[in-house]
Amino acid sequence: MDIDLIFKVAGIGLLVAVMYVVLSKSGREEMAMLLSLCGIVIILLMIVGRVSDLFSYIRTSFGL
Amino acid sequence: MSSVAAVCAAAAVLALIVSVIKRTEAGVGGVLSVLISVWLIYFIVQGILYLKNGMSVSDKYISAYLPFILKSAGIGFISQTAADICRDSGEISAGNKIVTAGKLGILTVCLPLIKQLLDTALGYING
Repeated sequence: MDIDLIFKVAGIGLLVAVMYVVLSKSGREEMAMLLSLCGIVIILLMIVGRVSDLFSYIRTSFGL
Repeated sequence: MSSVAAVCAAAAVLALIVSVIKRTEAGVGGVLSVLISVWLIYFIVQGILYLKNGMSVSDKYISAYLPFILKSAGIGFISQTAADICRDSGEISAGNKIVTAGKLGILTVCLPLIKQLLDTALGYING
Protein backbone atom coordinates (compact mmCIF):
# COMPACT_ATOMS: atom_id res chain seq x y z
CA MET A 1 0.00 0.00 0.00
CA ASP A 2 1.17 3.48 -0.81
CA ILE A 3 1.80 6.04 1.92
CA ASP A 4 0.74 8.85 -0.43
CA LEU A 5 -2.89 8.02 0.24
CA ILE A 6 -2.38 8.56 3.97
CA PHE A 7 -0.85 11.98 3.42
CA LYS A 8 -3.59 12.80 0.94
CA VAL A 9 -6.24 11.96 3.55
CA ALA A 10 -4.32 13.94 6.18
CA GLY A 11 -4.18 16.95 3.85
CA ILE A 12 -7.90 16.74 3.15
CA GLY A 13 -8.53 16.48 6.87
CA LEU A 14 -6.45 19.54 7.68
CA LEU A 15 -8.10 21.49 4.86
CA VAL A 16 -11.58 20.52 6.01
CA ALA A 17 -10.70 21.40 9.59
CA VAL A 18 -9.45 24.86 8.63
CA MET A 19 -12.47 25.54 6.42
CA TYR A 20 -14.78 24.28 9.19
CA VAL A 21 -13.28 26.74 11.64
CA VAL A 22 -13.52 29.62 9.12
CA LEU A 23 -17.15 28.87 8.31
CA SER A 24 -18.05 28.45 11.99
CA LYS A 25 -16.45 31.77 12.92
CA SER A 26 -18.31 33.54 10.12
CA GLY A 27 -21.65 32.28 11.41
CA ARG A 28 -22.40 29.65 8.72
CA GLU A 29 -22.86 26.66 10.93
CA GLU A 30 -24.99 24.71 8.42
CA MET A 31 -22.41 25.00 5.68
CA ALA A 32 -19.67 24.01 8.10
CA MET A 33 -21.60 20.91 9.09
CA LEU A 34 -22.19 20.01 5.44
CA LEU A 35 -18.51 20.55 4.70
CA SER A 36 -17.53 18.23 7.53
CA LEU A 37 -19.98 15.60 6.31
CA CYS A 38 -18.68 15.86 2.73
CA GLY A 39 -15.09 15.50 3.94
CA ILE A 40 -15.91 12.36 5.89
CA VAL A 41 -17.82 10.83 2.95
CA ILE A 42 -15.02 11.59 0.47
CA ILE A 43 -12.37 10.09 2.73
CA LEU A 44 -14.53 7.07 3.47
CA LEU A 45 -14.96 6.47 -0.26
CA MET A 46 -11.18 6.66 -0.63
CA ILE A 47 -10.36 4.13 2.07
CA VAL A 48 -13.15 1.56 1.78
CA GLY A 49 -11.47 0.12 -1.31
CA ARG A 50 -8.16 -0.07 0.53
CA VAL A 51 -9.69 -1.96 3.46
CA SER A 52 -11.25 -4.38 0.98
CA ASP A 53 -7.87 -4.76 -0.73
CA LEU A 54 -6.27 -5.55 2.63
CA PHE A 55 -8.80 -8.26 3.41
CA SER A 56 -8.37 -9.78 -0.06
CA TYR A 57 -4.58 -9.64 0.33
CA ILE A 58 -4.75 -11.46 3.67
CA ARG A 59 -7.16 -14.05 2.26
CA THR A 60 -4.94 -14.83 -0.71
CA SER A 61 -1.72 -14.73 1.33
CA PHE A 62 -2.89 -17.06 4.09
CA GLY A 63 -4.81 -19.43 1.83
CA LEU A 64 -8.25 -18.74 3.26
CA MET B 1 15.71 -3.49 10.17
CA SER B 2 15.89 -0.01 8.70
CA SER B 3 12.47 -0.48 7.12
CA VAL B 4 11.04 -1.34 10.55
CA ALA B 5 12.54 1.85 11.98
CA ALA B 6 11.18 3.87 9.05
CA VAL B 7 7.68 2.41 9.51
CA CYS B 8 7.78 3.15 13.25
CA ALA B 9 8.89 6.74 12.64
CA ALA B 10 6.23 7.26 9.99
CA ALA B 11 3.56 5.80 12.29
CA ALA B 12 4.60 8.15 15.10
CA VAL B 13 4.46 11.19 12.82
CA LEU B 14 1.09 10.11 11.46
CA ALA B 15 -0.23 9.62 15.01
CA LEU B 16 0.71 13.22 15.76
CA ILE B 17 -1.10 14.40 12.61
CA VAL B 18 -4.18 12.35 13.61
CA SER B 19 -4.17 13.87 17.09
CA VAL B 20 -4.08 17.37 15.57
CA ILE B 21 -6.90 16.61 13.14
CA LYS B 22 -9.06 14.91 15.79
CA ARG B 23 -9.28 18.13 17.82
CA THR B 24 -11.41 19.82 15.20
CA GLU B 25 -12.55 16.98 12.89
CA ALA B 26 -13.15 13.84 14.92
CA GLY B 27 -14.67 11.89 12.01
CA VAL B 28 -11.83 12.56 9.59
CA GLY B 29 -9.30 11.76 12.30
CA GLY B 30 -10.97 8.44 13.01
CA VAL B 31 -11.00 7.48 9.35
CA LEU B 32 -7.35 8.47 9.06
CA SER B 33 -6.41 6.31 12.04
CA VAL B 34 -8.17 3.35 10.36
CA LEU B 35 -6.16 3.99 7.20
CA ILE B 36 -2.91 4.08 9.17
CA SER B 37 -3.72 0.79 10.86
CA VAL B 38 -4.46 -0.77 7.44
CA TRP B 39 -1.11 0.49 6.18
CA LEU B 40 0.72 -1.00 9.18
CA ILE B 41 -1.02 -4.36 8.80
CA TYR B 42 0.27 -4.56 5.23
CA PHE B 43 3.82 -4.48 6.60
CA ILE B 44 3.05 -7.08 9.26
CA VAL B 45 1.54 -9.46 6.69
CA GLN B 46 4.54 -9.02 4.43
CA GLY B 47 6.83 -9.96 7.34
CA ILE B 48 4.75 -13.04 8.08
CA LEU B 49 4.91 -14.11 4.44
CA TYR B 50 8.69 -13.75 4.59
CA LEU B 51 8.70 -16.04 7.64
CA LYS B 52 6.43 -18.49 5.86
CA ASN B 53 8.72 -18.75 2.87
CA GLY B 54 11.65 -19.45 5.17
CA MET B 55 9.82 -22.05 7.25
CA SER B 56 8.11 -24.09 4.55
CA VAL B 57 11.30 -25.65 3.24
CA SER B 58 13.12 -26.23 6.51
CA ASP B 59 11.16 -28.88 8.38
CA LYS B 60 8.65 -31.47 7.28
CA TYR B 61 6.65 -31.21 10.53
CA ILE B 62 6.43 -27.45 10.17
CA SER B 63 5.38 -27.78 6.55
CA ALA B 64 2.69 -30.28 7.58
CA TYR B 65 1.14 -27.95 10.12
CA LEU B 66 1.93 -24.65 8.40
CA PRO B 67 -1.42 -24.35 6.55
CA PHE B 68 -3.32 -24.56 9.84
CA ILE B 69 -1.10 -21.93 11.43
CA LEU B 70 -1.38 -19.62 8.44
CA LYS B 71 -5.15 -19.98 8.19
CA SER B 72 -5.53 -19.28 11.88
CA ALA B 73 -3.26 -16.25 11.62
CA GLY B 74 -5.21 -14.95 8.61
CA ILE B 75 -8.56 -15.32 10.36
CA GLY B 76 -7.10 -13.63 13.42
CA PHE B 77 -5.76 -10.71 11.40
CA ILE B 78 -9.02 -10.14 9.52
CA SER B 79 -11.24 -10.42 12.59
CA GLN B 80 -8.95 -8.28 14.74
CA THR B 81 -8.69 -5.58 12.07
CA ALA B 82 -12.46 -5.45 11.63
CA ALA B 83 -12.96 -5.41 15.40
CA ASP B 84 -10.46 -2.58 15.82
CA ILE B 85 -12.24 -0.54 13.15
CA CYS B 86 -15.54 -1.10 14.97
CA ARG B 87 -14.00 -0.16 18.33
CA ASP B 88 -12.42 2.99 16.89
CA SER B 89 -15.85 3.94 15.60
CA GLY B 90 -17.35 3.47 19.06
CA GLU B 91 -19.12 0.16 18.40
CA ILE B 92 -17.45 -1.89 21.09
CA SER B 93 -20.09 -4.62 21.29
CA ALA B 94 -19.93 -5.23 17.52
CA GLY B 95 -16.14 -5.47 17.79
CA ASN B 96 -16.42 -8.04 20.57
CA LYS B 97 -18.82 -10.11 18.49
CA ILE B 98 -16.44 -10.03 15.53
CA VAL B 99 -13.62 -11.24 17.78
CA THR B 100 -15.86 -14.08 18.99
CA ALA B 101 -16.67 -15.03 15.40
CA GLY B 102 -12.96 -15.03 14.59
CA LYS B 103 -12.24 -17.33 17.52
CA LEU B 104 -14.93 -19.71 16.35
CA GLY B 105 -13.46 -19.63 12.84
CA ILE B 106 -10.01 -20.46 14.17
CA LEU B 107 -11.50 -23.30 16.20
CA THR B 108 -13.23 -24.64 13.10
CA VAL B 109 -10.00 -24.54 11.12
CA CYS B 110 -8.09 -26.33 13.88
CA LEU B 111 -10.69 -29.07 14.45
CA PRO B 112 -8.72 -31.69 12.42
CA LEU B 113 -5.67 -31.02 14.58
CA ILE B 114 -7.72 -31.39 17.76
CA LYS B 115 -9.18 -34.64 16.44
CA GLN B 116 -5.70 -35.90 15.62
CA LEU B 117 -4.49 -35.00 19.10
CA LEU B 118 -7.42 -36.77 20.74
CA ASP B 119 -6.86 -39.85 18.58
CA THR B 120 -3.23 -39.93 19.64
CA ALA B 121 -4.19 -39.63 23.30
CA LEU B 122 -6.78 -42.39 22.93
CA GLY B 123 -4.16 -44.57 21.26
CA TYR B 124 -1.85 -44.12 24.24
CA ILE B 125 -4.66 -44.86 26.69
CA ASN B 126 -5.82 -47.98 24.90
CA GLY B 127 -2.27 -49.20 24.51
